[in-house]
Amino acid sequence: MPSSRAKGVALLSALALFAAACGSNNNQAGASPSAGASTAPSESAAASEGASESAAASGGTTIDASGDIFAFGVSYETSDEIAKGRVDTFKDLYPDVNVKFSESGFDSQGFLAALQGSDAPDVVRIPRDRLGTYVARGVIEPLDDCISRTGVDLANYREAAVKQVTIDGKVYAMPEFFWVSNWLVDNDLFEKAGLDPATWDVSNWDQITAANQALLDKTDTKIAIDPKVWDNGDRFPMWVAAAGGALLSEDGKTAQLDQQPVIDALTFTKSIIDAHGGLTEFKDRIGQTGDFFGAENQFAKDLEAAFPMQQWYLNVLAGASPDTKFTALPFKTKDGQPLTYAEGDALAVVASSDNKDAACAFVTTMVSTDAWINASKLRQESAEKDNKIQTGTSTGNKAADEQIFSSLVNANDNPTFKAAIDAYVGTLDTSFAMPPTPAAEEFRQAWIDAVNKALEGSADPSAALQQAQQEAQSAIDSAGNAAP
Amino acid sequence: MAVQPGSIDRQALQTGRAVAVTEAAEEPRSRGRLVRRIGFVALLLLFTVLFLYPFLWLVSASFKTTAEVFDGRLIPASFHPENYTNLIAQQPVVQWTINSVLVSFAAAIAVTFSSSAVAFAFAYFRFPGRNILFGLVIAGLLLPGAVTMIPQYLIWDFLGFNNTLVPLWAGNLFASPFYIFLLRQFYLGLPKELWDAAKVDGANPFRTWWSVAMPLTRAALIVVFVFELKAAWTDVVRPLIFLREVGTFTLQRGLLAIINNPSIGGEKHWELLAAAGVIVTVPMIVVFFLAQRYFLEGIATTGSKG
Amino acid sequence: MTTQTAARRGSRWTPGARREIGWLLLFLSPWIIGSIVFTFGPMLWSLWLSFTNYDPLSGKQDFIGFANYQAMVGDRRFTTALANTAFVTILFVPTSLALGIALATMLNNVGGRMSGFFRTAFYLPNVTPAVAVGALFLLLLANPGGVVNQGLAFFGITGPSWLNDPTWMKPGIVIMMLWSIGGTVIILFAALRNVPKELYEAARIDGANAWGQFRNITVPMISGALFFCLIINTTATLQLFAEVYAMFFGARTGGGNDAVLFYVIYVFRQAFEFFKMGYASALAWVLFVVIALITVIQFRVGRRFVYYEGE
Repeated sequence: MPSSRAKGVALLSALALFAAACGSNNNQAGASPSAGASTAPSESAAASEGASESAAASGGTTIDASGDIFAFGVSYETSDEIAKGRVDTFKDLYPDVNVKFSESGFDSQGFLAALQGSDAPDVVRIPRDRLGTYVARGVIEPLDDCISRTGVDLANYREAAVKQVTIDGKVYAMPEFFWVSNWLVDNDLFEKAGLDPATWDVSNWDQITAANQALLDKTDTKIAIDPKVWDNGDRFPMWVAAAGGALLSEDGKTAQLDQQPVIDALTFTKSIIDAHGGLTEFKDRIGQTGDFFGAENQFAKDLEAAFPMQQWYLNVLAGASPDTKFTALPFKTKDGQPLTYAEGDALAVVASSDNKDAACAFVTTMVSTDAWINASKLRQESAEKDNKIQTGTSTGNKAADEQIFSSLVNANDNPTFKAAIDAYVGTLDTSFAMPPTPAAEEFRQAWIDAVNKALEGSADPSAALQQAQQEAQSAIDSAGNAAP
Repeated sequence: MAVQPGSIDRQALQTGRAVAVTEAAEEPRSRGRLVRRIGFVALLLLFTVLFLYPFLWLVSASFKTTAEVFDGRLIPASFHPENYTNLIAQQPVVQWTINSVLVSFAAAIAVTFSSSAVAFAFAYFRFPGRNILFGLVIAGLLLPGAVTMIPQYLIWDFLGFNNTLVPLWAGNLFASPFYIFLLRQFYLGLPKELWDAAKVDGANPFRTWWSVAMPLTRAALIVVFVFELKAAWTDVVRPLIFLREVGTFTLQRGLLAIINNPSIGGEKHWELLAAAGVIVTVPMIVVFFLAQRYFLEGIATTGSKG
Repeated sequence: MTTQTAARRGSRWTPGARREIGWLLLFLSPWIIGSIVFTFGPMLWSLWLSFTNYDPLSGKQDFIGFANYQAMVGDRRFTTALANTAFVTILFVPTSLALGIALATMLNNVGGRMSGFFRTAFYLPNVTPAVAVGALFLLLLANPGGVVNQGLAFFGITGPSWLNDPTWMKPGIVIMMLWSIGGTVIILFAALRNVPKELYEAARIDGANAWGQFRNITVPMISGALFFCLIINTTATLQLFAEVYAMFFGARTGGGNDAVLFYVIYVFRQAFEFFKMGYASALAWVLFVVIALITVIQFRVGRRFVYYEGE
């Protein structure tokens, strides 16, 4: 399946740099990059020492907690500094709590097995857009009480993320990561095609089409423009928003898959892919665009010209090919407004947990400002040691982001990365997220199916979306009622 | 609609002599025949290449770099055994191997003894309703796994064995219709005088089973054992349903995780995927070569009719 | 024996008979417990579940009558899964039998040591774990770099995209399944070896040519084994799961898999990914009925053609 799924594969050493963080929600085939990287334990130990002093200051208050908890979908041993540093912060604050980690990414079937098991999880990390399914089934504990006891100020977290974890007025999880997407453009290829990234107007879809065609005509690139909508759907909600619509109503109760902006977004992205010779050809070519996570990546080898990508990928590029020339451009709506789709994870307490205090302490501490800062310092130290660029992690915690992007990033005077880091930071406030729905899994499946059907040509966009609309709406209507 | 009982090359299995493939059906008598035979050998060689080449390719790919995997060479341009050490460093492959070995042997031992006991009962005892009961055994054979998958999951969960290795083998303590069917054929094939003689000697049914029937069908029991060893080793459905923590995975479940988790193998790190494929496959190939005749004769047996 | 006679003689069993019954039950107990707890019990349980909306997460379980079965009618994916499964079965089963009989016939003609070598070679893929087979064919079927398409290119054929083109994904899977055809070959080969040579002698004297001998002697004489392979291969294909799941259904694969959504994969996803165990149970029961029907039909038809010695 060189190409049947997104190109992602993390790797071995280069991965050590990039955040555990990509969250399980990144578009690269849903790589849950939590595994794969490893850091020397000594570094994390160093980090945790600095943690305790200021802990109470911004992370709220510590509560009484002890005993064992089991965190599902969270990795520690096999993870990187961003995960380790925060876990160590927690361990430092709560020395009496013993945390066990599943050391794997979230998967629904594994979570089900885990819940029924004798040693059921107390904490779970779920991609935010999938949380609703589990809340509707009563599996997730509301956090309102936990939040007030720990003194967490939700205003400190990005609004789009908090909305995603708030269902019927109750907060069910702490938002973790805030992956916004920008266009990443390969300068060399654009130049060869007679284009200039600086003047490329991405709010004008005709210009996107023209660039796509010019790149295909005038360069040897395998992929001109990848809208990132195939297979897992990835950035499709962002295209819909650019066309002025949304897949789901704000309250999560009404599917809007058959509305004109959705049809427009699908028709347009399909045309971009079709210009490569159809979806099959497109996927076969994706399989030949080099090693997404390695030094031989698509930009270094000039094999892919432009695609909208999440923030964490900057750090991958920084580690793998720091000399590459590329440009980050804000994604824009058709009327010229910058707009980005925010994705990330949710840390939640499992309703059946028998140690909710410790679980509460864990989910709040993991995303506290101090934890993020400790982890980012760790990362920066190791980057400095290797003289590497450090692009920062967007956390979903505003205070943490502010500190990270003002003092904990380091572009090493590399203008390409400096500009890219700034570009992403500039779009943090222009983000939207998928509203929560009790039929999250089915809803997601419905629109992803429609997108792929249309892309492969087995149905035209509006027909595919109409059918998906019916499926999605009936799933939402009967959600919580397990009958199909 | 019972499947016709299989007649078995009992002689070969019971005496344990090497399986001698019978001589060609006909001696070549004419030049035409000889030419035809040579043509067949050539064709068979071609198919042998088709069947075996993927293995060679996999082994070769496992020693290449990512960029070289699809370079079309069978001998890697550069040799990278560190793919294996990297993989083992990344993932608890050793633990998975231990889990797989434990599960496979427990499953094979359990099913061999339990099925033998049940099969023996169907051959040794005469009781009313024996055929109906045996029909039920066969009926169990035809039931698709998908039907029982969910309740079995709920049962093991209820028993508190979810997320342990137990459900992967303990079901085998309760015999398996296919092996009961297979072994019953062997026990029916033993002369009845054996049972009578044992009875005269004052042996109870257990002794008769253990000391007379079992040793006489040793070869058939080995067939059952190796079949189940292979089945348990290669199974991924149960590990997929019951296991969730990486440390409890079997090799097959681990390989699936590697395919699915792009940060290790999967996607474009084909050489690691290939290395993992070699690791999960080689033990079974070794077992196959050690117990070749049991595998081949067992397979041939299942298809023949009485 | 004693049990039976004792039981018939009177309402009271002799102590010896009682002991005998005890032994019998002891020996049968693994199967009795096993079939109650793990086979027939679950079967009935899943039948019950198929009439409920059981959701293991919320614990909800209400009787909803035939609603699950009715829901299948309007379920697009159910139809897709059924069609995909039927397609692969129809493509694979006849091909596997034809190729199996061809290879077995060649083996039988070659005979001797050599057939032993070939037999071993042909069976090796069968001991390869399903997940490894899936992983292997992800590599072999890649386009354009995979071995299969490189082989085709050698003959000047541009191979299709076996892993990405919805039209070619199922044929790619059939290629993968044919790789593990060794079991079928060995069963048929064993049957061929048991065909008495005198029959061919007699036919030759009657002037029958090779094809006539094959059609009138070989096929009828190995019809039992052929029939067995037909049933086994059909039921196995209808339950295709592990290889394809490993290849195309990653932990977070979204769409694009409709072309390879097979029936058992759909059952599995409904049960363990969407937690609709009631619906999944209904789906499983439909599969059971389909398999039972096909088997009955095959037996009915088979009875006419299968030749059993001594009949």
